[in-house]
Amino acid sequence: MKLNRIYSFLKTDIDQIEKELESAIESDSRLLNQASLHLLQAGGKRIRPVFVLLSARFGDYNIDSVKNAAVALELIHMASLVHDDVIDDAELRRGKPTIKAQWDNRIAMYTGDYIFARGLEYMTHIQNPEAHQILSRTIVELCKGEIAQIKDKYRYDQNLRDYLLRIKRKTALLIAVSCQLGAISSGAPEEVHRRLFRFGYNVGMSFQITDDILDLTASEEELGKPAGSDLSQGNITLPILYAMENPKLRAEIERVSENTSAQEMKSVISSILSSEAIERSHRVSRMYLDKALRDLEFLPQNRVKKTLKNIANFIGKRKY
Amino acid sequence: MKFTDYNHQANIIHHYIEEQLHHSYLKEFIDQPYIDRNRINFLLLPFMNGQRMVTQQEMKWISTAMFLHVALETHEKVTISEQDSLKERQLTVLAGVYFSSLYYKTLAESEDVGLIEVLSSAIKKINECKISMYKEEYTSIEELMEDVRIIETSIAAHFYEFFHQKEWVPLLSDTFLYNRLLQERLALKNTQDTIFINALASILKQSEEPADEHLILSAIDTTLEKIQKNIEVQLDRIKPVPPAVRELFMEFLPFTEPLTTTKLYAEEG
Repeated sequence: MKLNRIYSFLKTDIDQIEKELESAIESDSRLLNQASLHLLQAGGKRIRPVFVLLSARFGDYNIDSVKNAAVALELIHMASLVHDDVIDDAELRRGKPTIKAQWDNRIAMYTGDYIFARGLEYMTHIQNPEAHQILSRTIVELCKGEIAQIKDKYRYDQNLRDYLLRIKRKTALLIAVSCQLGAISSGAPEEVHRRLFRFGYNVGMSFQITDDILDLTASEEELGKPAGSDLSQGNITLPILYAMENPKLRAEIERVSENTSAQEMKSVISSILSSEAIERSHRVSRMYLDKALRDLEFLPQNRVKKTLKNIANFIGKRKY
Repeated sequence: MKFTDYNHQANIIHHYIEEQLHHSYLKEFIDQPYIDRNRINFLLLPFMNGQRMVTQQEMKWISTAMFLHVALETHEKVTISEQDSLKERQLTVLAGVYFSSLYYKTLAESEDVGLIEVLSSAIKKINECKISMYKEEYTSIEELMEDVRIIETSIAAHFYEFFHQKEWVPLLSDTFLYNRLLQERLALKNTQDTIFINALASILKQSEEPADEHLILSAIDTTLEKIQKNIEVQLDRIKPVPPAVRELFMEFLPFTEPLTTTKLYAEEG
């Protein structure tokens, strides 16, 4: 089953968000339009807007007010992708050339800053100060998480706690806040938006761990980038941490660098796959997923709750 | 308020900004962000009110505009050059985003949603103009100068407008443009390549021949001369200009220093 089938009843609203995103990035600059559209048309799961729309259904749902949070969050996420590609020197995203590859770093920086500003502008359509305080704190944390990721690159003495804190900041918080802001923007009760935050956080953690597993288990075709990219860039993910508990495997992993050949990489990945690292990582991902599902138990029984449950399960089982 | 009081207040704000921008890990790998004191002075202008010191809130407003300015300047340092180490480039990107996020966080905490909107709109315009300048999309010098004006002025101009001080915007905008052109002039004299110089050279270029330095310099000087006259007219027209404000503009615009365009011509023969 495809992810978008799970929330097909939102199709009209999601289409509206997609159109709104297109108009949000419209600019007087032809090149800026091209670069932003290039990114937008590369697609993406739009998981953040989906969580905003679903969570908003727990309150007084009105697409015209809820869309602001959905568009703002997706734009902020898009801006971070453009910047990330400069950081990672990435040539491909979702199988297409990145903005920095299609043009250059400078165009990518201007485009990222432009999209970020548009995101904040959209967000200001929401007058609730709490919404801004939540989102702004999240963006600061997100930045700190990215800085920590660079600090931790090739640092083999890091532990599980370092990893979890990093993925919390890098991924889980923005998904958590998507759920929370959706609920806040429709005036849902505080208890509901706090629960949804927890749900989003746990789903986000599970999502990122799955992503980190897929980096080693999926094919280059499925990933749109070479398998093992995280490892070759020095990002110590959960499967790597587990694999390093084996001294022989640890020595192999520590030899990996950006200059490691594809053949050598294949061999390291194969060693990791034959260890228990992947299975243990799946278990942690599943643990977060279970927590997310438990968070849902406290929410009112309705169709949306069932959809959130299905999305959580889909994320836990996805293959790429 | 005297100009010295102005400077004192600017000092306090400068320290506050430094503290807020401090990040121990970033500091290890990239240069400390440059905080332009002159810009702080100008952002103080809307709050000049007799002898009183700026309030904590006003200090935060000024700082947020500065965070944005510093963020954009930081991202200007991300280049296509391979000279910087990978880590340096990565952290420069993140530092810029981090400084922008502080602007949003500070204003969100003080519930100034209106100012977030106004300043975001400024950032949007600035990036549009930066792309045009980088891609040399101009057919005339005037078009280029208009975009440089937006790049240099938008944050402060939007800030002034938000605090109902619109009348100062033309003078402020000429002042910032003048200052930028002086910096570009200096870069040209030191044979440094800048995006502005490349864009100007591309307008002046005749057929396939590149524009020579004299031609570029002359175009900058002609514009400088025009802006200087404009500024002088405006300073005369806006009356009474409080002495501290006049001093503020004159401090930023070294008309009386050897950098005046006429003197430059004389020196260079």
